[in-house]
Amino acid sequence: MHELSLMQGVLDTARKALAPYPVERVNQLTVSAGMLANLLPDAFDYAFLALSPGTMFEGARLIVEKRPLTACCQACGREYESGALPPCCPHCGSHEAEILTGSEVLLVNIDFD
Amino acid sequence: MKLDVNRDIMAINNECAARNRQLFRDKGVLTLNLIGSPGAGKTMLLERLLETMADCRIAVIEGDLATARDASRIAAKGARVTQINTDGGCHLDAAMIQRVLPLFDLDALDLLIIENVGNLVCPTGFDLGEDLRLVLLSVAEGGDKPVKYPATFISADAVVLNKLDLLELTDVDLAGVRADLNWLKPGLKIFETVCRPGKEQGLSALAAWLWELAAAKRGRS
Repeated sequence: MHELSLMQGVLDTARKALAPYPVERVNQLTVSAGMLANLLPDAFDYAFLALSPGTMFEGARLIVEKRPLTACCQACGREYESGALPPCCPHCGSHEAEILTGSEVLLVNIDFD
Repeated sequence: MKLDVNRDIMAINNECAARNRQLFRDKGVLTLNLIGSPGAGKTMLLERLLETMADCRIAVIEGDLATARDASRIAAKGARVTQINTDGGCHLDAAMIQRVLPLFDLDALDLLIIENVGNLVCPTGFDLGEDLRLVLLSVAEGGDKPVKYPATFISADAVVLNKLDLLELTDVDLAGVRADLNWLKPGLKIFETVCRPGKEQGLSALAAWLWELAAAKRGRS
């Protein structure tokens, strides 16, 4: 259940990002999770419900998008995106890949009034 | 209004991991992050490695939800060890490692092994600053685990298939497991071990590989 600590990170980051603004209510948080972050959306929703009450995020919508990984093909040297595991080079079909990104969990944007 | 943030939540952990990694580089200490399910045999593997690599200066960081049982087992082998209890937390993070590093004399170490909390999912996304990630899978867990937990096995630098003495009691197809691992990550290094006292197998190959990498890192520092 590492989703709880990730959600804590999302809320801390959102709070810092909103600090310069007068916030009446937060409507929506959009998060994009790399496919190697092992993030389970249901558990992430649960973490949001557990951590948001009594904060400026209570009642907001949480949108979680899955993000493809990027890899560098070790056979042909080209970089590509992959939405499936294991990554497979679309140019030459090789599975030999150096993973470049995919573990990130991005707070993309915040909609607020 | 919509505020674009585009900030990586993992950045805090990643920055801390980078500081750990720099320290390990400065000190020339090879660092290993050992990941596996509860009961895969992580601690017993370490017990056997400590015996097999008696000339290597090894310290261990043990991660568990509760108790210092694993640390006691490692201490009984004469290695420097500390226990992190996560109190329910499902993984170790880089800051937890950073906090306990002052307990060790890194100048007097060749190899630091971090035994992560028993879990095949959550530790994967958390870089600790390690050089190597070793994923341990016992055949008793079933042979389908690599393809069911692909992110974890893809993140590994090597996989240890453990408890091979139990193979005949399972319906695991070992060649199939090897093929799955090679499909997930071509060329992935695979070791095959038995760690039960008196029945040890395959440990010298793993020890030799770690020795070679530790010596190379010590030479570069």
